[in-house]
Amino acid sequence: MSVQATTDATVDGVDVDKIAAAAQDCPAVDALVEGPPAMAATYLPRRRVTGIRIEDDVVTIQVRLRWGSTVGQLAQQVWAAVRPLAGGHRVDIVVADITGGTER
Amino acid sequence: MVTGSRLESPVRVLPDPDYLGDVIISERVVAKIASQAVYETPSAGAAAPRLFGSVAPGAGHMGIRSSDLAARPKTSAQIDSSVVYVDMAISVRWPESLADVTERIRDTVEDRIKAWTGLTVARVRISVTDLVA
Repeated sequence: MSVQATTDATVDGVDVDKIAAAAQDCPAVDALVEGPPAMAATYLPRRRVTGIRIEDDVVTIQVRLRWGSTVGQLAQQVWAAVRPLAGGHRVDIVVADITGGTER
Repeated sequence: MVTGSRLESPVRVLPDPDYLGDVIISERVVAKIASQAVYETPSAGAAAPRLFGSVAPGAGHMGIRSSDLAARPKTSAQIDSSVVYVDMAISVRWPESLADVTERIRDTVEDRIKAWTGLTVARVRISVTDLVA
């Protein structure tokens, strides 16, 4: 499957900006992050979208979890928000980090 | 399904329209959750790094932290599929019972990692490397 990127941030029929915005709005998501373990990022002309990768039939979303939220809550929120935008792609979620804990 | 880090060994499932996707959790996340459990235990905290069994003299001047009950300890985690192994080095307040403190930490770590990530904790190895008066 070829991947074609245009300036309107559509990769493989999926709007990367919309996916990023939807994921970022989930309460359990502190931020979209790049780097290990998934190295998820999308490179577009003159810019880069952090934490999202679209490859073959999979959309990978790499996030930093907000302290106090569970991974289960995160997954339900992200899938509910992103699946309608993913054009039938599978949506994998990578929890790369978690925000600092509460002070005692 | 929920699996740990290590993207090189993902579990792939046959195409299923109802299958939402994989959830992959980094070892860093598990280690931080475990570290916080120690931090919340008043009788335990971070331990100074040791060199051949002794605290390195003058380490504080080199920016290396000392034992501190009010700091989070150095913790690492390994994830194998959906099973977690946690290692941590802590200091304990003198004269608390080491057995009681470590058991309390172990219970908290296991419960919280299970509840927050869905991963099962197979082992929590706690090294008590210092006692703090």
